[in-house]
Amino acid sequence: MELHLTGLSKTYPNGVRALDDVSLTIPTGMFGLLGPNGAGKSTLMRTLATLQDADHGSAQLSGVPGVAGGNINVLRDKAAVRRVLGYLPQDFGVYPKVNAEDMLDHLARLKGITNKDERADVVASLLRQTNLYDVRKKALGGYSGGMRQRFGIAQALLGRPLLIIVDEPTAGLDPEERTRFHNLLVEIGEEVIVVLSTHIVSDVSDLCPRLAIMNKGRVLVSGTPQELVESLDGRVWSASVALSDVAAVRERHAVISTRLYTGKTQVNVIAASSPGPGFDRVEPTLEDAYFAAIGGHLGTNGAAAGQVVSEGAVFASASR
Amino acid sequence: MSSLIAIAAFEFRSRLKLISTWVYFLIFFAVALLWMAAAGGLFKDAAVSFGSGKVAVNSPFALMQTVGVLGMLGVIVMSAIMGRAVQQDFEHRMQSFFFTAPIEKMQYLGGRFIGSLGVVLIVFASIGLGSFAATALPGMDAERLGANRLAAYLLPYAWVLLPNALLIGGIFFSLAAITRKMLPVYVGSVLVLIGWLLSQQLIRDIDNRSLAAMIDPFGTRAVSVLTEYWTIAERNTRLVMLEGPLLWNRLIWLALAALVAALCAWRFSFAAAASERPAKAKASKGVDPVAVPAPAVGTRTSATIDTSRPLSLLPHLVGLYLRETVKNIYFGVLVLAGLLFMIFASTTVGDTFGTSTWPLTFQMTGLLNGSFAAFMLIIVTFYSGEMVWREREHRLDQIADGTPVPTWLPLLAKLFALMLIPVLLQAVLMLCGIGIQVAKGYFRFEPALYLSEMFGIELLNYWMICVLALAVHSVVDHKYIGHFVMIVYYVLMLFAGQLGLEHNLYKFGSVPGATWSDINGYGHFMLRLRSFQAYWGAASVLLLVAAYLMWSRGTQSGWRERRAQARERLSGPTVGVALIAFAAFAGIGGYIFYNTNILNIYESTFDAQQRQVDYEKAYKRFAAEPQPKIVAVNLTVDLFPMEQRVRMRGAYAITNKNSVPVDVLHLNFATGRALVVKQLTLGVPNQLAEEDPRLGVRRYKLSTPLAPGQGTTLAFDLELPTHGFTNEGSNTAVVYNGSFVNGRLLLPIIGYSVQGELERDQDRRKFGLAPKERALDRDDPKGLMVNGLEADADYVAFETTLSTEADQIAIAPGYLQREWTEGARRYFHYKMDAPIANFFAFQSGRYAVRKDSWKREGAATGNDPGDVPIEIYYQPGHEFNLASMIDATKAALSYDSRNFGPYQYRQFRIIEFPRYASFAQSFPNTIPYSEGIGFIARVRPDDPKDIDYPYYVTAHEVAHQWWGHQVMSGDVQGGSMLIESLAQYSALMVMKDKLGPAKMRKFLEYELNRYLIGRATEQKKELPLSRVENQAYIHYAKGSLVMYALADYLGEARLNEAIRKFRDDHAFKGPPYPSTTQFIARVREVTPPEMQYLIDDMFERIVLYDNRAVSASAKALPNGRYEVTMKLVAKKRVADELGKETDVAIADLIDVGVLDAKNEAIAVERRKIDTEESTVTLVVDRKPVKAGIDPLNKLIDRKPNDNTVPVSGL
Repeated sequence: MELHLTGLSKTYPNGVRALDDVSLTIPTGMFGLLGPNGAGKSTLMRTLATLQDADHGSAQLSGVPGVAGGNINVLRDKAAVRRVLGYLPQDFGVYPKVNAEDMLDHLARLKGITNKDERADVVASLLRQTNLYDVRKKALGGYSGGMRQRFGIAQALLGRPLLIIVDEPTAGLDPEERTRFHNLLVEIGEEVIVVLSTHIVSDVSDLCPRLAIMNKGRVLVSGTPQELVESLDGRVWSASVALSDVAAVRERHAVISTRLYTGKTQVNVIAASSPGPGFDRVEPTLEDAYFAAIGGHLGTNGAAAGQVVSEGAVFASASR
Repeated sequence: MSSLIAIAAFEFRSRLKLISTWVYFLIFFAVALLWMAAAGGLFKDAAVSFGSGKVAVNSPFALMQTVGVLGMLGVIVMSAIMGRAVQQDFEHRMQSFFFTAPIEKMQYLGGRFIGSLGVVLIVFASIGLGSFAATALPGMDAERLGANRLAAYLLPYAWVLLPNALLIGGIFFSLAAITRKMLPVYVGSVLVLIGWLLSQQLIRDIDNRSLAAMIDPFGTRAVSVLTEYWTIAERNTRLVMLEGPLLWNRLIWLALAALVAALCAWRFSFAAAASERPAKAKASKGVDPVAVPAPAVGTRTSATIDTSRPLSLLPHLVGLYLRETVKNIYFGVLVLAGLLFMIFASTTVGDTFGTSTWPLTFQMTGLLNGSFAAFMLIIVTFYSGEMVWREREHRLDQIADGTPVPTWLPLLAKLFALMLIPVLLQAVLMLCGIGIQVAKGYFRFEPALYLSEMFGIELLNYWMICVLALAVHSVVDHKYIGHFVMIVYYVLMLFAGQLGLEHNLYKFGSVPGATWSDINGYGHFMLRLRSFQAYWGAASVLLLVAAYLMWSRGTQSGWRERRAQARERLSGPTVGVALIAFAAFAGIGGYIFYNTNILNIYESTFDAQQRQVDYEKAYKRFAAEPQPKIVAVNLTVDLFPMEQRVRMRGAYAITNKNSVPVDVLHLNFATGRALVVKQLTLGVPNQLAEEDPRLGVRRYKLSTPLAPGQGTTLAFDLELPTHGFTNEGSNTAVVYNGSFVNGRLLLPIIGYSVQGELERDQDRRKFGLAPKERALDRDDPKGLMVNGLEADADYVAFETTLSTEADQIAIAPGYLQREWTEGARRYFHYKMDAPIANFFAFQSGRYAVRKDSWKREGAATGNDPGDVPIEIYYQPGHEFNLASMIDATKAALSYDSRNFGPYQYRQFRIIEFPRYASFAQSFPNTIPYSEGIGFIARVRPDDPKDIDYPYYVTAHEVAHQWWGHQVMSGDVQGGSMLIESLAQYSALMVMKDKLGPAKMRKFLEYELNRYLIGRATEQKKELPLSRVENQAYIHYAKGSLVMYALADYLGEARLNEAIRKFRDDHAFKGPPYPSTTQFIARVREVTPPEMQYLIDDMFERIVLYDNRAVSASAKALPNGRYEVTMKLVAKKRVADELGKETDVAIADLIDVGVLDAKNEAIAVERRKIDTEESTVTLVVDRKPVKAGIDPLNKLIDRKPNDNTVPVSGL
């Protein structure tokens, strides 16, 4: 099963270009969509979730089991997509007075689980899986942010979806919740396509064998984390400078990131050779790749979108 | 303080930037402009009549009404703007930002309140601006405009709109702030609407006037009550000030609002509001973070996914949406509001003279349909908005929209849930109606009628509104503008007719009703009703398709995307449904059009007026042309009730009673083109000179003129068929059961008919016609030669053979000669043995008959054996008041024959007819009497308020056998006084014996009210009683008051003596016919010199008193009596024809008196009052309670209630 996106573009009525010629191939497994806020991730996710139309381009789901021909035109055949879709929006609410079990049951009906007993099984099992079983009779209005988010994932998993889209799922979760959430995703993400958008690099490096980095509506690079990291091999240099000197460094060098460390500013720059005294060559990380891509120092060369498809190891970049 | 200003300013500015604010502004502006322009005669083809044509549309009174009533629509705007002022922070989750800022609660609330109030006022300003702009439009009728006065525009704001914004807006604001929800606000707006509706219903009983003025939160009813007696002159000039009921209304409601606001200030809390139920959030504690058993089977449970049968989900979804709507306190409040409305409104069901009818099923359902539809419309509008926006407001839309359900599924589910709301309400109301029937001791349950009225008919109409509301919300895609659009729709529907949109084919949801009659059931109305329902049903399906196409799914934004999405949804089945619906819509529409416009003649009000204008222009020049008169009528009338067809064959004998030859015969036919003239033959050689079927005119040129005194015949064979159905109105003359056909519906009228002219000055101006007088001077010799009832005859010999279906009885004036059955038809031959007025009707129905007889008093006359049979032909089940009607008949026949002259007939019959009209009418010895005005009255003899009006109406109609059938008046001013005021007088005297003085006062209170309201809404000019120009409020209401008082002043016997002489002078005589001059002369003869002024005041002038008691005190005398001293003020005013009043010196005989606790007189003395202020002392036997001037309200006084004051000092 594969999801092919070709030349997706979308301009909002207010002139914002949310998607700009996006082409990607997304294989089975977890796929990370990384980018800063406003990069167009949510627009892309909503488009894939049939909630929004693109102006141009196509999106094709191929090799779908149980579908004649195995292909679904995502933009045209919305009904077919919805039958295989699990979607967790970035921002969603609940009916405050309805409890989790009833709500899930209702959504399960909408997803087409018509048999009452089966539905009860599915709902119970999902509630257990998301650790909500004990609070299943509590009104959703009283849920904490993490519980609500787990409820969100539970509903996204209803009906054995083949295409799961989770938009910024870890926003607002504490580390504990986040870990639990990651475990859940990993567990389900083996046989189906899971597209996960986030602006937190570690979410992707923890989970995704493949990823794409987006900014301003464009896909800057995509590939496996290793490929992206390797493309920076030997080119990332780091120096510790005074805060007052940062501006000067930025002028002279291709700075990809700055971060404070013990009161000094650690500056990572990208350069083919040593940019000067005080700079040490460092092992590139996915974060460096991300910032390099956002800064326009990486992409559209080595790891062009969707060219390399490999069954990367699951926690490839977890070594960071 | 500065925070408050800052918050207010922020609220104000940010709302002004919203497009919705300006949409409200523009729509209000447009509606006000349109309204004023229509009222001001700008639209030539609109036929608007807002009140009196003599009151300028921009007069203080009219502006108060216009701005006030339009401001009522503002309830939606207030809920959207003021309700949302605080609630929006919760909806948008902004509350924490504000509640953590260093501001006080009161600053926050006050700022938001003031800011939103300012915006509401800006929006409301558009009403005044729109009204003002309309006055500047070119093409307005200059006669309808007065000078623009700034105060006239500002006062409605000061007294109505600003207080409303404060109190209604304040209540909404508080409700939303406390509950953080909008639903309570909606419920609140329904409740204020109920208050208004209830006030409208309650005011039918004049004792409820103050209550009605108080319970209307909008204050418009209080304005009406305050100004209802204002004369035209006052309405044009007087500014409405904050006084009386208006002041009290405003105070009461503002106090209530202040209470709610205080509650809001007290209950509203930043702390509780800042986070949502923190206690429950702890639920996440105790869940072991690492214990993730992760059973891989979890998501793989072998559930069968089946999305192929989405319809199977429908019941579940409908149930869900319905439960969400119904299972909360707010719906309960709405139901309760509906029930309270029913219960309160049922106290005045069918009120006439403050006396209600039995709670017949059609009366109970009648309460609910009509005005109550507004209640349902608001509920449907609000709930449709809630349903459409439900997921989006809970931000569940993305999840729900991503599920594999077809888009039409939630749409249909929401629609059905919405449609179930009126089902529930109707069911509850129906049970409540039955409960009320039981409570009132009425046990004839008609569940089938309930079901058909409430579900079979009305519910379907509500369902169309459901579809419309859903479609509007889907298409508009802005909740509050959607609500507003629905309100605008409703208002347009209310006034569409007056704006010239009269055809029901282009007013969505417009379904001509079916009036249930116990006599005729739904009669012929159902075909039309169902046709229109089918037509709008098809339109509803089309709307539903539109709703589907524009239904929000996903996060589409902007019209471009929504259009694209709509195109995408326009798939085969959708197109199929749309095409089928369109075909049905067009097909049924075509069928309706065929019925209304091809089988029948469709005529808008404007067309009808144009026809009248054409008639006048073409034929007025023949008005003075000599014409023969009808002297005998011989008819064969065939009624075909099931076909709603009537045929009249026969002949007039006509005679030239002029002193000059007649060379042209001018005939008019009332039904114009609808009439089939099979034959029309004149007994002398002639030639049809002119024929205009549209105007219903035929003119025959006589080859040899008809010489004076010469007679001939006019033979005819006429038929009035019924084809299909019409857009409005219908043939209610010939119906399945209970036909009532006036002869003149078919029969030719001879000579130019002044009644055919357009009458109202404002209408005439529109067509460029000069204003016309309504009647000739009361002594005009030509007018006195013409019979005031029917101009083309004096007395006629009358004979008819009437046939109908075999199971019906057919009745016409005259004595039954023979009755027989031939084939499937039943025949009746009636004949009069003496000439009668040319005034007869034919009735037919399946009646039960109640028989009795009246023993004639005194010497039997001529061919009269003495006993006069009385028969009432009635609908079985309507027995309630038969006894009272028979008593009234006997009492009236006795009184009238004893006092005025013998009863001229040998029988007396009352025949009930369906309630398509509500009157009784006196034909010679035959009284058609509507089921709506007396047969079903619920007169409780012990109730101090109930007036036996069936008794009154019967006595009145009996009296017409004298006044109208013995004495006829000329076609001049005052003519209707001789007929109607004398019939009123006769009836009052008969009633007085039966009901007693207390109830007579009650009755006369209604007559006074009717007179005062009537003169306030006069279209042309008020005239003194003796010159009345067929003005009902004068010849009935003022006639009652004057004649009753006159009998009191002169003495009943003395007045009757004068009346008897007048009757003897003129009975069965004419032409020339008498005028009020002769009548007044007879009255003057019996009037002592010191009372002669009364005759002037009562008959020749318009006189009103402003009498009042200032104070009254009493002291107990040693002999056990009481001496009561009262200070009185007496004022007398003479009004001109528009109600401009001038004080005149007083030197009148006026009662002064003392009343007991029951308002009964202890002592009343007539004193000569000749100073404005006076002090009077009376000594009475019993303990005085109240005292004053004219304590029994015999004189016409605009404020009758201040005539007495409680007695102090005991």
